[in-house]
Amino acid sequence: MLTPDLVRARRKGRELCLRPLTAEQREEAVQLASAMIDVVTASIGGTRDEIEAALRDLSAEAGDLKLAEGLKKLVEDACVFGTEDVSGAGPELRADVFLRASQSRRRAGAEFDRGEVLGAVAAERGVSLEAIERALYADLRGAQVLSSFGPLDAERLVDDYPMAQVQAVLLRAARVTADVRCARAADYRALFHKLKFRRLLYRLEALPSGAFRLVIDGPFSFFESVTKYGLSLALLLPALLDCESLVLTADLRWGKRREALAFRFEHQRRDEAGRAAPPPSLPEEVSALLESFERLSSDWSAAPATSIIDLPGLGLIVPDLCFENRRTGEQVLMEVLGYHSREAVWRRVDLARAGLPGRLLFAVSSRLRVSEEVLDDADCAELYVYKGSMSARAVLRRLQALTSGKST
Amino acid sequence: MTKARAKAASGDAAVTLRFVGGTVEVRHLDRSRQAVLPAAAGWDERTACFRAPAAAYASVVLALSSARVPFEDQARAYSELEDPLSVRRDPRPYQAEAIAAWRSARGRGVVVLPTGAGKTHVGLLAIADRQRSTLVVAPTLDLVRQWYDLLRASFDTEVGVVGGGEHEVRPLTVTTYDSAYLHMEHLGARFGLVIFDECHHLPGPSYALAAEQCLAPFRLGLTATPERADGRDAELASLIGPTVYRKDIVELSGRYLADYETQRISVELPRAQREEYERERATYLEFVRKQGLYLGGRTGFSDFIMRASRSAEGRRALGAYRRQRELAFAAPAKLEYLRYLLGEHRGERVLVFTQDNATAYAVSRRFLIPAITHQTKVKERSQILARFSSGEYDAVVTSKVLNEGVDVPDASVAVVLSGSGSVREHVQRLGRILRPRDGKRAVLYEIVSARTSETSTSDRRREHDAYR
Repeated sequence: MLTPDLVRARRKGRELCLRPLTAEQREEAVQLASAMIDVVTASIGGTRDEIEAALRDLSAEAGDLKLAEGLKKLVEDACVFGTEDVSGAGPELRADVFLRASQSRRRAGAEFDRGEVLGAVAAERGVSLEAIERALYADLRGAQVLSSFGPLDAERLVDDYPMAQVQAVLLRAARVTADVRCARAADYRALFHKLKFRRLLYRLEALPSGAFRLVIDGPFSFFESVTKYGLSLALLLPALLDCESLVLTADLRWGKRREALAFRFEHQRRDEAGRAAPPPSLPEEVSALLESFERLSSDWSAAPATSIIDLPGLGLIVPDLCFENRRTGEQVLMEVLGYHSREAVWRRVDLARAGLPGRLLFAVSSRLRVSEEVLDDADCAELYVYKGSMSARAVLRRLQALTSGKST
Repeated sequence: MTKARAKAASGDAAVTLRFVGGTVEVRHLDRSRQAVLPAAAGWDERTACFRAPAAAYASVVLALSSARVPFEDQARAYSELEDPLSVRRDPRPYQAEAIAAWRSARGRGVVVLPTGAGKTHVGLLAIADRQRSTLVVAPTLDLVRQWYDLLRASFDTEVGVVGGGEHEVRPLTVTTYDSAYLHMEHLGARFGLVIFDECHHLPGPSYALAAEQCLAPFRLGLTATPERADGRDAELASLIGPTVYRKDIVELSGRYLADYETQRISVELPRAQREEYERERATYLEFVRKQGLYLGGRTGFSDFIMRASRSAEGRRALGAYRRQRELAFAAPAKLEYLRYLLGEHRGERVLVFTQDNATAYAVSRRFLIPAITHQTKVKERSQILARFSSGEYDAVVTSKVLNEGVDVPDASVAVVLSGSGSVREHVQRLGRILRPRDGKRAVLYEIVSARTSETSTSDRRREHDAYR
């Protein structure tokens, strides 16, 4: 990961703007990255100090030092260093040498003789004096040896560089506002799962465009703007980039003076050929249910859900489908929990018992060994436990039960 | 309104305190009852509950109790210590006064004592006084190791360590400031007393969070030098508590600290190096002048680095700056004089300080004395210091890691080969050799390259009573 000091950016008023690579700079970057990759590839077995010096020499000649330093960091991140097995190197050898030297210095009247001390150690170990000199600090970081590298492609490295810059900027973010749109409920769920995993907090707002606005920070951000969550926010970036569209703004504390600056970044998910990615289809089992439900010709219509039910302090539900009664206009949302997490089912049961702002139907595979009766006492929710695949008729029966027998 | 919200609003659910990410959440207390809580707490829309910094935990508990609001405390995860102090040593009069002053301040405050005066013993007295699970936060791994050894020897119990590749939390735990900053949001509820050793490190945007995210009601800061160049030492009062007790070097010297003298030795660079030094310095200063930079300002040097990275001329100036510094730091005459001092103080314990790792390793290789830098692993550091203490090693060279707190009672000679202009760093280095011993007279040598910028750097760092 790049560090904030390696970000190529300029200030425009109170905003931090990344400097995009011109075609010429991109070409230079690819050449430089290629040279760095060649140097490192040829240096397997070389020490960290040697490799860093070689890369530093390449960077020093570059027209854009920050770009060069950034590429150098990304190349170094792909290096795996180990400790060379120098026989007898390390603390034990040092202790031996230093103890003898200390004794030699204490001998009254005698002048300290460095060569004599090292010579005695070398003779006892049956190696040359030079070998002892070399091995004395062979276990230090700078003496670590490159054991493997890459694979790394220069073009790909330069393509990924802008995103590495965004990630480095987020390391200094105190708060991020992300307007996201996902085509599938599962993608939203994955995003909220990542937020929870990173121990971040958020406020959620539905936007008229159909997207959702997430204001993301951490518990302590309530009191002051801190960059403590910067690493978590930076690590969240890949999950945000998985959304179909993303408009990100960040409040930064930039530079040594921690100056308050804003940062804006937009992203559309694209396929390998660079085209906008087509909206992903619903999960197969949900798609199959939708199709068979439409063939039932009931009073109910069904469509992919576009809402998220956020209950601050309690939990969050991302429904897959929205059913609407054509005659009465009543709506029921359905979340398909499948067979992945029994704990997720119990969380929904707790939410349903506590009270929900609408009617919810949770579909759970029988493999999770949950009984439908656990939600008998909840007015606004039903549990549908299915074996194998979901049945449209069974879903219809539960919709009818929810709207006739139970009320919010 | 949902059932859950209605239930919370009606007050049916018990008011609950929870520790979440370095904060205290007050759940199920209706929003309209904000006045019950201290000013530090506010309503957090994100989680629909009140939230206060963990440091305000004690005041939240007091406020709820005063308002007779029953609550369930799920936040506090600390306990009383099961094992009392197993080794008791009579405190010196000033240590007893210090702990009494801290106790009078309700167990929150800073004690300022010179290096070598036994600040850690004051820490032990505080733990024994409060009998609560305790977290000790220290600036370096060497100090962590030293606190670990002391706690292990003083309490008949295992001691936890967080930092330097270890993560074991116990009722008595020692950690570094870096690890405290990283982990306090998870650990902050587990300690009733937190001791910040060398607490002048605490103020600042990052480390201060460690104090704010910890709910320990009892806090003790220990330092010899609370003053900071950036003036942020004023924040210690809110992060730990007020300065409750202070004694300076001159008040304790002779009786509680070893007698000492300091000597500055100027050495000349050889002609070729002098010429190279002048040339490189001129290149660097010419760039500074052309850019209109003022290096004496607080951001002067970082401005220089920033401007230097933007052009080939700047990069050349940065290289010249580094080279002239290198020449001044490790001048051959300095190393030659060090050789003389090692001979002159044969049979004594000598600590050599350098400004950078490269010089420390150069000294180590040339004189075959062990080096301790941030790269030295904890086990090897412990072994080096143990051998230095027992007299098996007559000298140790270190860059900055032994600047503070580390106990080397038998060292009587310090040689500063190179250093910064920081008064605090210099006073701390002097402190390493002031541990008292019968008949001990400590001496600190400062070897400075004559007619280089080191002379003025040395003048700056000697601006302390201890050097007058």
